[in-house]
Amino acid sequence: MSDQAQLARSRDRALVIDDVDLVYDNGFKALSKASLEVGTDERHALLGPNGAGKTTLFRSICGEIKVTGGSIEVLGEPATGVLPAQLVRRGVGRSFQIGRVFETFTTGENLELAHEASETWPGGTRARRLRPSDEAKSVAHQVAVDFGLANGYDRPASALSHGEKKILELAMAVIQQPRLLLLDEPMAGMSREETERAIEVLRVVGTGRAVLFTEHNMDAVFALADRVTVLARGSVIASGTPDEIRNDPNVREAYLGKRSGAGDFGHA
Amino acid sequence: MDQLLGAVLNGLTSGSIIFMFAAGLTVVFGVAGILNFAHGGVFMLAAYTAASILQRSSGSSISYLYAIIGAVAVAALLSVALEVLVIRRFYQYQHEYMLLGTYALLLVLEGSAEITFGVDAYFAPMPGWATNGFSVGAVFVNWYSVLVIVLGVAMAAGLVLWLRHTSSGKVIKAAAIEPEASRSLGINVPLVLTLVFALGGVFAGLAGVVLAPNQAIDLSLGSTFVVQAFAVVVVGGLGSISGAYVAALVLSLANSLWFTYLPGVPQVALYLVMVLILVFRPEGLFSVRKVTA
Amino acid sequence: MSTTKSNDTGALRPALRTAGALAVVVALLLVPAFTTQDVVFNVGSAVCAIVLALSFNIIFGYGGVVSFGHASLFATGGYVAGIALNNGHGFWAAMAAAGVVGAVVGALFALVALRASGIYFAIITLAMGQIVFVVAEQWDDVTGGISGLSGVGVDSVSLGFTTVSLPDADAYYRLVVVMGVLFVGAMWLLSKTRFTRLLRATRDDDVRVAALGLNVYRWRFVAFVWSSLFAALAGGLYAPLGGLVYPELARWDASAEPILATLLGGSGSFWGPVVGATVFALIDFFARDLNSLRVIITGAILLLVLLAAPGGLTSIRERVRRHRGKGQPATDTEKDVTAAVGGTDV
Repeated sequence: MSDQAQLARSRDRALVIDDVDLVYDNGFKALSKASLEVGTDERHALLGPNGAGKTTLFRSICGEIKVTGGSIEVLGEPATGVLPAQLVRRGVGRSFQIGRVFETFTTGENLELAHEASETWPGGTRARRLRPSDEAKSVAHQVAVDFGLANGYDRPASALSHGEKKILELAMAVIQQPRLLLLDEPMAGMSREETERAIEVLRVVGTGRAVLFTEHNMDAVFALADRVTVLARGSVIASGTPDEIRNDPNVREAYLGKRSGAGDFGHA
Repeated sequence: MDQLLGAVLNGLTSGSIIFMFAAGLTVVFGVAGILNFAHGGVFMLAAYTAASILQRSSGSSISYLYAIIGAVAVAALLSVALEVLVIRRFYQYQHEYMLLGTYALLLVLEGSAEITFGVDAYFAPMPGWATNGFSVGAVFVNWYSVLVIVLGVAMAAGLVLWLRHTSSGKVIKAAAIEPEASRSLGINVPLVLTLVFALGGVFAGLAGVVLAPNQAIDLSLGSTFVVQAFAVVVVGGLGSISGAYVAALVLSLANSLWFTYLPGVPQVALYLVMVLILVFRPEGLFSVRKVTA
Repeated sequence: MSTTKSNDTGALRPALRTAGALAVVVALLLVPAFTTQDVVFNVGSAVCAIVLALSFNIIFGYGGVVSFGHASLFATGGYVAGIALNNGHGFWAAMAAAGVVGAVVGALFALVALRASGIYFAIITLAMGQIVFVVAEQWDDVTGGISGLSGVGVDSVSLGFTTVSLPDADAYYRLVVVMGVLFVGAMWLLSKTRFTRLLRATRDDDVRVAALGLNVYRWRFVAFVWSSLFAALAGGLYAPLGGLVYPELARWDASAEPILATLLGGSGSFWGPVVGATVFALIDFFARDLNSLRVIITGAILLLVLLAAPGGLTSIRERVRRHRGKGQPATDTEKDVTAAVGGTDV
C-alpha cells in the first residue's frame, strides 16, 4: 500500500489494529495476529467466547497492557506506549464492564467531574477556575436528562441500580465528546427494559462517532453494529456485516459448538 | 582491608538480628496480609523478659535456657492473644488502617512495658564463651557474631524449606493465596492465621533473646526495630522470606559501610538505600506477584 | 459535601456556625488571661497540631494516600524558621522561608514516593521522613544536633503600616492563634475547590479518573506540595512557641500523630482532623503526669475508634443519618490488591 493510500485510510479510520500479538512471559498467547479497523462513523462489535481475548484487546487499545507485536493506531496516531489518560485526551471515551462510577459522588457530581476533567485538558477552557463552573453544571444536567438520569440527580451514585450506573458511566464518557467510544459489555447485567433503553441511547450516541463494543447479548449486537469482528483464542476468525457473521460457518464452529440458530448464541 | 572486613562483619551481625525479627513480620504479612507494628512491641517485651531473667541470675548457664523459654513463651502467647482479641477484626480493613490499628497496639504494649519494667534500661550479661573468638587479620571475630549469623542463615533456610516442601508449609501457603478455596478444602483458615501469629511470636522471642546480651534493652527498642524491619520486609518484597533475608543484609551492610567510611556524614544509608531500591523496584527485590491495580 | 445535605434549616445554620467559629477564636485569644503559661503553651501547640493534621488530610482524606513522613515536613518548617529567626530575620521572612523550603522538600518526597501507591507510598514517605530526622539529629553545625535549636523567638511582627511588638510568650501565642485560623481558613477554601473534588475522585477510584483523561500523578503531586506547604508553615509557627526545635519532631512516631488525629476525628469531613487533634491535645494535657498510662490511653482510644467507628468521630453523626459512613472496610478493588500483594513467597 502506498504512503498516500495509507494516509487516506487512517484518515477515515478511528481505530486501526494491525497484526497485534500479545505473548505473556509464561508463553501464553493471548492475542495472535489480531487485526481490525473501525471507521470514524461506525459501530463495530467485537464478539467471541469467554477467554477469546476481547478484554485483553480492549485493554491493549487503552494502553493498559503492552502488546508484544504489531501496531495499534488510535485516531490517526500510534497508541502503543501512550498512557491511558493521554488516549482519553486524544478523544477516546471508555466504559468498564462493572459500571465504574464515583460512588460517593452524586449523579450530577459524576457528570460535572467528567465535564470538568475535559476542561482541564491541555487546550481546554477555564482550567484555572476554582469553583465548579455554571457551564459544567448546566451541561451535566442536560446530559442527565438526555440519558434518563434526571431522577436521583442529587443522590449518591451508590444508590443507582447496576444498569443505571452503566448508563451514567456511558454519559460520563459522552459528555467529554469522544471521537472513539470503547465499551466493554455495555449491557452486561442489565434488566430487559434497561437493555432496551441502553440500545436506544447507544444508537443516538453512536451516531457521528466510532464505537467499538463487546457484548454477549446478540439482539443488542445485531440491533446496533454496522460491522462485527469475531475473536477466538486470540485470533480473528471472521469479520463482516452482521448478516455475514450470522451465516459464517467458522463462527458457528468456533463460537457455537454444535448448536445452531442465529439468535440464541448469546448467553452461554 | 581490615576496616572493610570489620564493617562487613558488623553489617552481617546486625542484619541477621534484624532478619530474625523481620522473619515473623514477613510470614505474618504473607499469610494474613497485615503489616504488624505490634510485632515490635512483642519483640520488645520478649527482650525485656530475657534481659530481666539474665540480669537477675547474673548469667549462669542454665539461666540462658530459662531466658529462651521465657522470652519465646511470652512472645508467642502475646502474639496469639493480640491476634485473637484484636487484630482478627482488622483483616477486612485497608492496609493503611491495619497499619494504624497495629500501631495503636504498639502504643499499648510500650506503655505496658514501661509499667512492668520501668524506665531504666536492662543489661543482660553475655555468656563467657561468646566473647571469645578468633582473629582474621586484625579483625577479632567473636563467637556471638558467628552464632547470630549462623542462626540467621538457619532460620531463613529452614523457613524457606518448610514452606516449600512440607505439607504444613503448603497448607499455610494455600491459606494465604486462596483463603476461599482453602476453606472449602476443609482448612481452618482462622486457626492457620492464629498459628502463624504464634510462629511470628516465636521468631520475635528468639530475636529478643539473641539481642538481649548485645545492647541495652530500653523502651525505644520496639519502635526502633520495627521501622528497620519494615524497611527490610518492604524492600525484600512483601511476603518474601528470602527477599527479607537479602534485604536485611543489604541494608545493614549499607549502614555499617556508610558508618565506617563516611563517619562525619549523617547516617542515612539505611533509608537512602531503601528509597532507591523502592524507586527502581517499587514492589521490592523479590516480589513475584504483581500488584495489578 | 454539597447539595446532598440541603435539608439544613434555612439560613440559620451557617450563621450559627460562623458565630460558633468566632466564639472559638475569641476563647482561644482569651486563654492567656485565665490560665497558666503551661496551658498557653499546650493550647498553642494544639493549634499547630491542628494545622498539621489538616494539612495531612489534604493528601490522605482527599488524595487517598497515607504519608508516613509528614512530621518531617513540619520539622523542616520548624528548623528553617528557627534558623532564620536565630540569624536575625523577621517573622514573615522566617515563615516564608519555612513554607518555601517545606514545599520544595515535599515536592521531592512526592516525586519519589508517588511512583508507588498504598502501603509502598506509606513506607517510602516513612523512609524519607527518617532521612530528615537523621539529618536533623546529626548535622550538628546547622541543626544543633541532638539538642536541637534553642532560643528561637519573635520580638515583633511588622504589619506594613505598623510594627506590633511581642513582649512575651502570651503575645506570641495570640499570633499563633491568628495565623493558625488563617491557615485553617485557607485550607477550608482549598477544600471547596474543584481541585479538591478531582482529588477526592482519585481517592475513590484512580483508574477511573485516568479514564476521564486526568493525570492522577499530577493531581496527587500538586496535592502533596500544598499539603507540605501547610505542614511546614505549622512547623514554622510552632518553633518560637516553645523556643525549641529538636530532631524528635521529625521522627516517624511523630508522623503518626497527624494520622491518628485524622483517623480519630474522621478523614471524610473537613473538621474531622480538627476534632481529632483537639482530643489528642486534651488527652496529652490531662494525662501528662501519668506517662506510661498516657500512651496506653492513646492506643486504647485509637483501637476503640478503629473498631467501633472506622470513619472517625465525625462520621458517627453521618452514619446515623445515612447509615453508611466513609468507614473503611476494604472496597472490592482494595481487596483485589490485598489478594495480589498477599501470599508468602519463598
